[in-house]
Amino acid sequence: MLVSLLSVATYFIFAAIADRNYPFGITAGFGYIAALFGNLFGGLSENPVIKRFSEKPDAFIEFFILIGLVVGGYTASKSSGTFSSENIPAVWEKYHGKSLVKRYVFVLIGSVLLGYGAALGSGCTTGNILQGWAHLSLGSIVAGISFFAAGIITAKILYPKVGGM
Amino acid sequence: MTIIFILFGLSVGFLFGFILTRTGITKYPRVMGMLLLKDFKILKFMLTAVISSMILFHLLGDFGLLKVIPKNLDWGKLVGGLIFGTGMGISVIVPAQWQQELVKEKGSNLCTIRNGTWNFYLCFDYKTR
Repeated sequence: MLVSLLSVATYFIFAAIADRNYPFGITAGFGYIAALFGNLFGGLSENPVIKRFSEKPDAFIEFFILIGLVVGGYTASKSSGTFSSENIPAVWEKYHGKSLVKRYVFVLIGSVLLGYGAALGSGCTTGNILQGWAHLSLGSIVAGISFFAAGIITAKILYPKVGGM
Repeated sequence: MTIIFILFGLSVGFLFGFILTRTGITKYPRVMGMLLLKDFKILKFMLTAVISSMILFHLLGDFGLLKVIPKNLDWGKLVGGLIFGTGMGISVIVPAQWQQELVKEKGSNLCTIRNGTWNFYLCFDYKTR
């Protein structure tokens, strides 16, 4: 319920301060970071997608949402006493061993696909499901179903032996 | 205006990150449990948020207080969704989870941020062709 209130309030505030109903999300924040790097190279600064992320206020705001996410997550884990530092999740270690390199290779490959897919699909789980499904957007419904279909199939292939957790 | 944008972004991010972490849905075993269809807490969380905000959005829309702009359906949503889902299955990370990763899994998180950024370059290339 709190997330839905946050999502609706964000939509309102975007309209008030940026004069447009931008959807609540975080993907454009990554786009803003990419645009910052892109602008360092002359040829890329004229790219329409880089220009869009450089100039539109929603990407700038979502960049600060990313920073706020880290601070909020850190505060929540500290205040609830669940803060801990680990290099490899316990469940991962149980099935894939202690190799940091292996974990990072998986994260690296997965992250490339995550970022590329989010950019192509115009949003991640936050933008396409939390916000897009609430708007009953057909595009977001298709994207959200694709997220889970591909994710479930991949997880079932990679972790066939996981019986009970 | 810039300072308002920054404060607004930081406040929304803080609240969102706080809620996600306190509910525990960003934890690795939870995401993995969801993908293996063994733990439905994330699904319950998401559907509760979606349905309650759906009611609010459309109610406020009917009263003319806001304008809901649905996203268009195109091939990018389907293909991008399948690519994203495959990445989610491989890394067991969703973008909103990266704040948790920064707290707990430092190295992996740096990879996520770096690649999240890099991926947009790949997409720029794709989209401008």
